[in-house]
Formats: sequence, structure tokens, C-alpha cells
Amino acid sequence: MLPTPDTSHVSFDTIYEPSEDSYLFLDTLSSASESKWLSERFPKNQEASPLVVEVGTGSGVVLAFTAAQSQQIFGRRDILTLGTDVNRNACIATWKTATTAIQTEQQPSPQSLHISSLTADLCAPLRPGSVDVLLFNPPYVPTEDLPRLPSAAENDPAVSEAMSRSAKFDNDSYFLSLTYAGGADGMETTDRLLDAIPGVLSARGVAYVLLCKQNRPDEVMGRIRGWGGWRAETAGSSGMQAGWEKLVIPIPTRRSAHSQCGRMPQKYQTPPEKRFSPGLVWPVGHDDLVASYLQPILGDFVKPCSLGDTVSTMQLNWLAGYGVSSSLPCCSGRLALNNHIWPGDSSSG
Amino acid sequence: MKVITANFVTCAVKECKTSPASFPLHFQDAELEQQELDFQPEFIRNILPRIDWEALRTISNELGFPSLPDSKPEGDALENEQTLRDLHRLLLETQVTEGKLTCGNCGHSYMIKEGIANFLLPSHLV
Repeated sequence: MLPTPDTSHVSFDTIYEPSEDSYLFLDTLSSASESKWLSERFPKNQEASPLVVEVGTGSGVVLAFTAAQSQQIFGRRDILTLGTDVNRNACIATWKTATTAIQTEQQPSPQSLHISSLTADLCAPLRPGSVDVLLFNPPYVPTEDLPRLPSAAENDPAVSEAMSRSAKFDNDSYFLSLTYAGGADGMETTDRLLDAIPGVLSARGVAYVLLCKQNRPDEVMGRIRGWGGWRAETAGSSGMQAGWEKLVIPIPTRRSAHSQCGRMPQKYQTPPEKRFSPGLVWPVGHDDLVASYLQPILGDFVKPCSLGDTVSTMQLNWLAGYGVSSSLPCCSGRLALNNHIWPGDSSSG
Repeated sequence: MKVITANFVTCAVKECKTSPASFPLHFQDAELEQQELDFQPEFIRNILPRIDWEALRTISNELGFPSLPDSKPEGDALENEQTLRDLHRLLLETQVTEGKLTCGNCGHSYMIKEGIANFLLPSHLV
């Protein structure tokens, strides 16, 4: 397995912590089928260096992985990466994550180059027709309201440093909401990104966009095919709930892969001391059902747990995303095993 | 941000996208930093097809770099190590840490702080 970029320098107060969907993105891009496709799309010694842009980089883990593992993913090391995020802290984090990962992985002679992290709304500052590979792990959770975009001033470090504790908490919560809240169908931000894709992709371009089940990926892909001349297909799927859709124009291209719709910042779910590291739990002794679903897909990210362990809502939702939803309570609780049903404890209601 | 970024960005104001004056954005009050990177001539050759040469000449002048050739190096000129080294230094090794990028069409300036350019627009320009 290829190493995951180090994000230990990142403070997750306002930045989405790398989670299952992020890791699934890494697995999708470095899978044999996608790397073959990308290597053929951007053949070494024939095609100019591709520009890989990630929109909404967060910690930078996906873009850093793409840059550092460019040989495995593209069959070449001469790629350029650029990231955008509405949160300046995420841009600072991404710069460090990407440059460190390239330094660590590409020795003795690093070649992939992270050229910049820009504070920006989606693709707003990008030159038309310049992006070869676009990556987007959207805020895709359906929510009543879509958080507004931050202003340039709200990203001024001097402003947040001067805040009171409660103002800082509100500010952090606001920035965190931008990482997951997707408005109606969880699609409001993704729709804006899709609208921008024809303008920003190069003639050989491809976009990978994550959609979960509530986003109605089939409808979205149908809509894209309706643009005329575009292909949209599923590049990777982690289960029944969602996937990376790959969106492609005949020569141009777009794609994406499937993940699951359990994205909520853990901050809102479990107190910090009970936070789980990214990864999924499954109950020991119940491997026949769960492990057969999960382990081939997620490998090391599946962590065994025992009866009585506390699991978070997100983890339960994750299991639900793999087709075992009917047997799961949708709340935090202690895990117990009872005849293929895992009820939460008293908190399950 | 690396100088090569300027080749891929333009004004974030929608109405400016169609105006030739919005590209390239113009560096002002730029503070530069050099980060030494291994010279890899092949990388430069593979990047060159992506570069808008006229825009790069403008950027190079604005940042106070020596003048670039009138036209983009091709054929034998791609074997000229000095040319490739100059481009390596300008495009890949030079980082802009402070300053601003200004649109030649609407005049809006995007601030660069600690190497991060801020392209979020004030409400009157959205």
C-alpha cells in the first residue's frame, strides 16, 4: 500500500480531517484501472506535463498523495499540482502537506511540483482551459442551508487571533460547516463546480467528483451526458451508497468514484477524548457479514472492535453505507451483538 | 506560490474572463524567495508547451528578471542549457511570498501573504 501523506502538522479546528472518503479517493486514483487510464491519457514523452488541480483541498492529503505518487498514478513524475480552498488555513496546511510528501516520497530527486495553494471559491481564478485533472471531494451532506462563502477579510489571520474564545468557536464551526454542508440534496456547491467544469478543463481534461447516494449520482451523470459530448462514469465505488464519478468528454474526460455519505465533523458528535482516528470499526465475531463487504475495499482502514466498545454516529453511518443499514441504530452507542443486529445502548432510544 | 502559477490564473471576476487584459495578472510589490531545486531539463521541456510565452515575458520583466527571448524556445534552442536553466530558475525556483496580483481589466488586486494568494472577492465584485 502506498503511504498516506503526513498531516500531523494540521490543526483540524477549521479543516476537514482526512476520513474514509479521502482515503477512498487515494485508493481510487492509485488503483490499477485508474492509473492505467491516466497513464494512457497523459503519456510520458508525448504529452506536456499535466496540471492537477484539487478544489477544496482541506488538509491537502489527496493532492499531496497525487503529487508524491505521480509515478504510480500517471506513470510519470513531471506533474504540476495546484490547490484551492475557501479557508486560508487549509491553503497553508496543503502547501506543507504537499511539499513534505513530495520531498519524502520522491528521492533522490523530487520532480512533481506543488505550484500554489490559492484561497479561492472553487475554480474562480483559474485560467479557462488550463486544468488537466480536476479533483473534488465536495461538501456533499444534504443540509437545510448552505453556508455563505467567507470574505477575504474573514481569512485574515490577525482577525481570528483577536477573537474571544466563544467567537473563535463560532468561527471554527462556520469554517468546518463549509467542509461538509452541501445544501439541497447536498448538491448546491457541487452543481456550481459542475457548471464551471466545461470552462476550466483542458481539451484532454478529466474531473473526478465524489457523489454520495443522497446526491443522486445517476441523475447527475445523466445530466452531464446531456451536455452533449461528455462522458460520465463511475471510476471507483466503495459500496452501495456513493462513489467517485468520472466525468469525461470524448477526448476530454471527467470521472468520479464512490464513497459514503457519512461526512460530519467529529467535533459535533463525540467529545475530543472519544474521537476515533480515521477508520472504520466492525465488531469482532461478526466478520462474516461485515468483513466480506469492507475488508476487500478498505483493507487497513477497517479496524476491529469489540462488543461494548463505543462507536460514533459517523462509524455507524459508515457501516450503514455498506448495505447493513437496516440492522443499525443511527446513533452513537455501545456496540452489542444480538443475532445479527447491533443495537445501541440506552442512548439509542 | 511559484511564479509559474501566473500562467494558470486570471481574474476571479466573471466579466473579466473574456477580456484579454485580465491575463496575465500583474505582480506588484512582489517579494521573492529562491528555493533551490534539482535542475531537470526534461521537466522544463515538458512544461514549456503549457506556457503562454508573451505572458511569461511580461511577468519576467515585472519581477525584474533578465529579458526572455522574443519567441518560445523550440528545436535546437531546447538543447540550450542556459536557456533552460533560466526558465527553471524563474518558473520553478522562484516563489512570491508577499505582494499582489492586479487585473489589467478591472484593476482589482489580489493580496499575496506568506505565499498564499487570496482570490476571494469583496461582496461588490461577486
